[in-house]
Amino acid sequence: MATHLTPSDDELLRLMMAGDEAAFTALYRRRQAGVYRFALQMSGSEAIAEDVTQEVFLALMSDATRFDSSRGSLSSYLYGIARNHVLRRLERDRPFVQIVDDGSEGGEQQQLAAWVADDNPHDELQRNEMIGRLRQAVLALPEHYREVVVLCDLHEMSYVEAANALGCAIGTVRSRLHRARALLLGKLNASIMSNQEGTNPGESFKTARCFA
Amino acid sequence: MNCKNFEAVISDLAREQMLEAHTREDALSHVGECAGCAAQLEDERALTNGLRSLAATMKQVEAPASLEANLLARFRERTAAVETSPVVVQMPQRGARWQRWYPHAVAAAVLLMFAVGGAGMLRLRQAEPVASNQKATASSETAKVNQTVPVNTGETPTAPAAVEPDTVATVGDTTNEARGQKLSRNEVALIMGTGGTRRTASTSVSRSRVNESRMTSGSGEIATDFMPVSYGDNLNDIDNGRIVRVEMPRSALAQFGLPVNMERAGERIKADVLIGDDGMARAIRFVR
Repeated sequence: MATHLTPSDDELLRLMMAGDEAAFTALYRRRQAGVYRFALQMSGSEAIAEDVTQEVFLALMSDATRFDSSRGSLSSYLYGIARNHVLRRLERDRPFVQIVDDGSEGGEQQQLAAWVADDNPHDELQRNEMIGRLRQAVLALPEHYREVVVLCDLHEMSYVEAANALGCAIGTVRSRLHRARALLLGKLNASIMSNQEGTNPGESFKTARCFA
Repeated sequence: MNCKNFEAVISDLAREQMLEAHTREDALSHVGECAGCAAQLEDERALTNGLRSLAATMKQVEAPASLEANLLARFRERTAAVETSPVVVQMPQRGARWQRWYPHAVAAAVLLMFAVGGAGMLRLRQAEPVASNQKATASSETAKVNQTVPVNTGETPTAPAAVEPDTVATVGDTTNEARGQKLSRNEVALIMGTGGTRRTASTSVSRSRVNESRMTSGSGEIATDFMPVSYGDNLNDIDNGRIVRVEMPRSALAQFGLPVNMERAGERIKADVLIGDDGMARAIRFVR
């Protein structure tokens, strides 16, 4: 995920703090999409994602000196701010945010193998449906599992970067990700099984894991 | 490798993360022997592909363009506010350690420089023979401008400061420009805003000169008011003074509660230092 961009985020930030509007614009354009997508994938709401993105950059604007480059990248710092705002919004809006707990809609048999065979043309619709189902499964994860899946799997962050963004240990990220992926498989399995009434269950997920 | 050990690395294996070579080989070898773990790995890989597909579908998703416009407007507002605000000090709150103590160290170094220079001046002054009292009571305006004149009417006039402008210019290594203006007590009082309770007849002349000194310290220059360099200074005790132009790091502004752009903290700024008759720096103003 780490890429070397010129000028660097740190340089742009320094210029921005000195009042350079072009530097702020460049920094915003470089980082807004990641922040927005993170908020969207965490909340499932475009309105929240937009609000959170705005809050993140306003926070950077008003107190950029809080960023300490010795503690991690600016990207991780921004994700960290975004995460805090998202969790706050989800807590505040909890009664109004609909998170689908399972994929009980639809009747077709879905197979995990459809994702593996990316180049299978007749599975395109099926794949899209599975991606939608997976999106819902991610949103249904508990927040502390959801955030590691979003950062590590959807944003391809390293464990170190994710740990910086979340303010926790690398080992915590690893173990949460492991558990989160198992939960995801479990949810998807349950979803597929529920749509395979009377059909061959062997066509869906083959395994179940125990975390006792 | 057994199933339990395989469980610990299955996510990294499916996500194609870095693994030690022998761990990876052992894991793959175990997959060849254990059907259950092989099935788990297949599901994990499928999940990885699914999540990558999900990420790919959102690759082009970004914040609405209107948000950038809003934020830019806010940025301009903030920048304008910071530029016009007289009290906003941008100091790092949680920055690197050196950022916290650097301004203090610079200010301490500047004050030390003044103190050492002042002591040297005092020594020079003591070595100088006492000048004639007649010289101190010269009545012409020219004499007031160029010499130090005691203020207290009826007091025995003191000797003029023995340190000449050329000497003052060498007080500190960083001194680039020494103005060497000598100011009487009333002029000092006017500059400091402490009120000259015992003004002489030359006050009006001095006031115009002080006003000129306060508002435009040079052609096209803008200056702040003079500020005492340390707490507890009784500015009324300054009988005579001398203004010396110095340069110092911009970060020294923070010591006087003035806004500092930390990005330019290393740049040098001009300041006029009011040095008392004792050779000590008593007040300072910043010049742009």
